[in-house]
Amino acid sequence: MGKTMERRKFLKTGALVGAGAAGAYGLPLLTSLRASAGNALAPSAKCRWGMVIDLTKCPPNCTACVDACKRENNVGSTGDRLRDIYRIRKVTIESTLAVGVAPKAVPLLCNHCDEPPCALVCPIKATYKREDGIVIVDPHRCMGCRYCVIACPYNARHFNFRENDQRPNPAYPKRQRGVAESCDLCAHLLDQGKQPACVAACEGIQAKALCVGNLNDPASEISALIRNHSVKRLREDLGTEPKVFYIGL
Amino acid sequence: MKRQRRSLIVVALVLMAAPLLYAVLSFAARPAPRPLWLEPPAPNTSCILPTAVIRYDHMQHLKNLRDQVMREGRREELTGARAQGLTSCRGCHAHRERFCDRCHERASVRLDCFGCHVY
Repeated sequence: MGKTMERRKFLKTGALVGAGAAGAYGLPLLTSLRASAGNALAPSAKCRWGMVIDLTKCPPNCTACVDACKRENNVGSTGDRLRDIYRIRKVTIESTLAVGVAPKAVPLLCNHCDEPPCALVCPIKATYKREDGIVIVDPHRCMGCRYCVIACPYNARHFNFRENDQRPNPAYPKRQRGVAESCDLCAHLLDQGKQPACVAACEGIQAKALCVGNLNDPASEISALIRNHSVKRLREDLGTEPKVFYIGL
Repeated sequence: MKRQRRSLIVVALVLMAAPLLYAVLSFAARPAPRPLWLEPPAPNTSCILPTAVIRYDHMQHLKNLRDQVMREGRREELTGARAQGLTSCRGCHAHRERFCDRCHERASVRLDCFGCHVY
């Protein structure tokens, strides 16, 4: 009889100790899990940069934004069509429908996805999403594996196959051979409260087709544009949640 | 006969030792290496940190600053009179060849900062 009591007592204490240990170790784990999930769901409370491109105002043969971007960010041209690097470029989009829709010249840049596939595949987190939603490459860390170039569904990423010797803007670094390149929405200008180079250039030629602003602020110009127009994003079916919106696509 | 042989041995030994002696003597006669000369900073300026700290910890400082700018987007320390960026050193030390490169060449530290950044 005494023996069974002892065994029952032993099991009881064991269960209690086990539950205590599980609580002690599991609780911080659970709370940290919840905290990280919370961070992932809310990119930033303050600022979330996005862009609206109004194709009805974009002149078809104009390359002001492309040229301004190359000047600002020291993106050189190699003369080799397959090796050329663009942070923003003009592409021609044709309708797959049989209905007669004229092909459109569309400025294409990094879409700064909320779920960026490039950052997902980057093995060393050289590509990452900043807290304000800008997807950016850290060239110090990039090792040139080109996974991001393959992963991007918008072909908005390029690779520096050779070093660029043109440096029109000495205030901004250039890139060495062997790092990936993409639009960072001119984060160095946005952080100083200025407009990105392409937007400034578009305003400079009085077209005003590009607009960059805070998507979280309902009073901003970009939020008003998205509210008042029918906007489309590229390849919304992929679930990448791009933050570049097109009017008149 | 015996004396002749002995002098022959002495001469042979001296001849064999001559290259070694020459090397030792020429090394001793060489002037001592000059101390490292760095271009003095522009007059009436002061460094962002004490000289001893910046001399031994500048790499850590620059790496922290890089992560702060790249990862967090905080650029306030890159502008103004006390700017701390990599290329802000230019404000007082005008020539990279006489400032960064001098020490790094002597210590055989390969810098890849200036492949992209303009000093």
